[in-house]
Amino acid sequence: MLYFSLAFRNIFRNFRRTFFTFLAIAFGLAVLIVMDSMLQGIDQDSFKKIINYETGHIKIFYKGYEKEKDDFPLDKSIPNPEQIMREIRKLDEVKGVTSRVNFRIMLSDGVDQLPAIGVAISPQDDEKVFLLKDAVDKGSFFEGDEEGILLGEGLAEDFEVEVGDYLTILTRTRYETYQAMDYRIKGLLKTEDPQIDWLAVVIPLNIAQDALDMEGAVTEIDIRLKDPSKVEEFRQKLSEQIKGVEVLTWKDLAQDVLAISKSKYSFSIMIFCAIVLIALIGISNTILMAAFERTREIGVLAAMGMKRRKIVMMFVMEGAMIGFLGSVVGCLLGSFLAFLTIKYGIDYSFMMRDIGNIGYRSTGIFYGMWRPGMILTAFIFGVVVSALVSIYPAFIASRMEPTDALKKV
Amino acid sequence: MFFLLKFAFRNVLRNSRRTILSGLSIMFAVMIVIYMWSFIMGMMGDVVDLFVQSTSGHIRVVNTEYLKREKMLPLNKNIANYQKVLDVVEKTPGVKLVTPRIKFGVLMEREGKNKPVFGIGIDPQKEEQAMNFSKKIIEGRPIMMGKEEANVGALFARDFGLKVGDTLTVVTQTAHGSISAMNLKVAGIFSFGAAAIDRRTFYMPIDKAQYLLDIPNRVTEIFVLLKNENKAPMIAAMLDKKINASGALKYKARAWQEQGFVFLWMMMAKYIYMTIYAIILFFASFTILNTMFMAVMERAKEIGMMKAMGMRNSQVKGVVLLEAAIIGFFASMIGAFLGGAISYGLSVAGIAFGGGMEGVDMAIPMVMYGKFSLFYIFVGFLMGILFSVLAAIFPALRAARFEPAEALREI
Repeated sequence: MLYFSLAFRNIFRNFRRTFFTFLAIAFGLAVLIVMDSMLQGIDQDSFKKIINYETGHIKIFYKGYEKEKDDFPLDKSIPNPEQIMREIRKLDEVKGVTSRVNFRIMLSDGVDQLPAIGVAISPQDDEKVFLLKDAVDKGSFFEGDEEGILLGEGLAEDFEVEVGDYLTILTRTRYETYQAMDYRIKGLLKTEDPQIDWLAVVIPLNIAQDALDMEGAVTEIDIRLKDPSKVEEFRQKLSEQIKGVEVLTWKDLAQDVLAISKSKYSFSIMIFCAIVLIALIGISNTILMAAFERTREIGVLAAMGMKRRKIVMMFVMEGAMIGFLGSVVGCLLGSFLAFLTIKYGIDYSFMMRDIGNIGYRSTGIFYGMWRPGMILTAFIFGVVVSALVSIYPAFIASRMEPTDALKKV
Repeated sequence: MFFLLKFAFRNVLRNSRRTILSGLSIMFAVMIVIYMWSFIMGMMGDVVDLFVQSTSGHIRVVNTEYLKREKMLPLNKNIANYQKVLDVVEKTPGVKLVTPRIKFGVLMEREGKNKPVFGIGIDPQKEEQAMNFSKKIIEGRPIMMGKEEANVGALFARDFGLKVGDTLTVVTQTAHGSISAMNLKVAGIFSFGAAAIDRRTFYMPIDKAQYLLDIPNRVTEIFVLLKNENKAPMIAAMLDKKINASGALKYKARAWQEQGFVFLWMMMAKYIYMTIYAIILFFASFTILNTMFMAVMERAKEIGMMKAMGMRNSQVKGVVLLEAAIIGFFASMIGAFLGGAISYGLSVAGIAFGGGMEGVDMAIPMVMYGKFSLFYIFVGFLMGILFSVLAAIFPALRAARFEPAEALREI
């Protein structure tokens, strides 16, 4: 306890120096916390949208579809979805099941056209897995089996169309014949998932199946689980139970997001390391100076019988305390900044549409998220590493002979 | 002056361990700033170059109506008498190169695969100067005017299973909405090193594109390179007036800075990173500040004595600042050397971002290279010294405040 109070007093002896020293480590930790909050926030937000609008928790494809999924191969579709879905519905873990047909289209207003993705959904079952129904911003969702389309808001903007206008879908059937269909826009979708808002034309399943000669087949079956954390076990179970298909989890399908977030993360870590490295040199330097400055005191303490080990301890404690102060301030500052990104987000919408698809499922505003674990890690890191870098200067201080140290008095 | 320098030098060497430790942080800071700067500038430079070469030019002239629906590449909103526009642009001072292009969308279909791709009709000879076209060809040769040929992107070729000599069937809509088709022989395969381009672009001779799309003597855009890219907004405004001399604004010349987000993004990134560099250096300079403060306090007696012997305040301050400058100088020199070495490594080897970027729409090079530049190294070096000296201002002022009598009393 004596060493503790000695160390504690010492750090306030030259408060200006202590202040500048811990400011650097505080800043490093704040940067780490806010960057982590942002990057994790973007990832989790993307995952949530992927699950809620694109994949569900589990997706079933016909064998060989996944590899070619960017080409929308209609010839690799599941021929007997009803039978499989009946089987899946019986399982306890399942909350909801639905099926979809995804197909490549050109969307045209008679003058210009844009490539888009047709998403055929079951008007009754889709809401058991996905949240598209709640994302209808203008107009209304499908009622019954009427014809019509739901259009992503970005596409509506591109074509300058409103609910009630007509657009033409140009596509090719399962047997490669051309097909053109005019549909009335029933509603506009606003999901803030660019895959939907900028690309999707949603159409009732039976109408699409007729138009594409699907004969009741679908390209995918989507499942929502009661307990999302058991997704991997359930995948195992399903792939043993159902043959001739590929069973994938949303994680398998979110690879593009993971890849981009990994490269972003390494970049942030680089900046964090730079700041922390400099902060640590600063701490080391401060402790060394403190040691020199107190040569006489150390001599007195040693002459009075203080052990070398204890002297080292005292300085390491001092370093740890500076680290502690820095960590407290850093975590508070970081949490405050993280709070701002969580509450208000950072708005990139003025350029997101231009940038286009970058993997992240966001149309503009990026929000952070709370990461208490990371804040705690940063805190402990700050204290421990500060203590570690104090060892060397503390050791030098302790090596001074009491007589030498006192000679200067 | 020489005396002061010698004095400062001796002081620096008096406690070498402390000097090294305080120099270390400046050294690391300078090193990090230099290689981060060169890497980020190199990366952004590559993105901008790609954008300018493949899309925007330094200036691009299009039909005013075209701009409203640019994403859909509306062929009917084209430039009618483009030869005349070419002439006007060519005669404008500051213009290095002018070439017409036709951009059109195709839903490419081959062996059951459907992919939306971009066709671009070009004048191969002009593009040679515009974007070093033949250097981008990794297999086969560039297309030739008047022949029904195509150059396809490397990933495009992979996705559709195309080799040099194969036939690419292009089915598309003409400007008037009817369906038109052409068989193009794959003369060569190109790579820009950016997935967004290599995956979904093919080039064909512009005369054949005019025929395919039924727009004889018309193009969709005129691509302009300037001698000085920074003058683009000014020259674009001038071109606007010249091209639309008849009055109504029919065609619009836009500088690359005004097209898309690339310029905006670059400026934003520049300022954000500048702030980060400044913060890194700022924190590094704290160490100098602390060290110098301590050195000054330690030498209170000496300084008092010097003053008693007639040293002026300005000289006392000068010695302290010189001391910091000396530490800063050597630390920055080593830092600049290390940072330069790393940035040279990054400029040669680059960092591969790998397959994860393939789905991205933006044209980002798959391998990012740093830009090795003596300018960055030199500026980083100077910044290191500058921050060191700035950090020593407080301790210097403190030293000058010592009263000779008081400082000597302690002896």
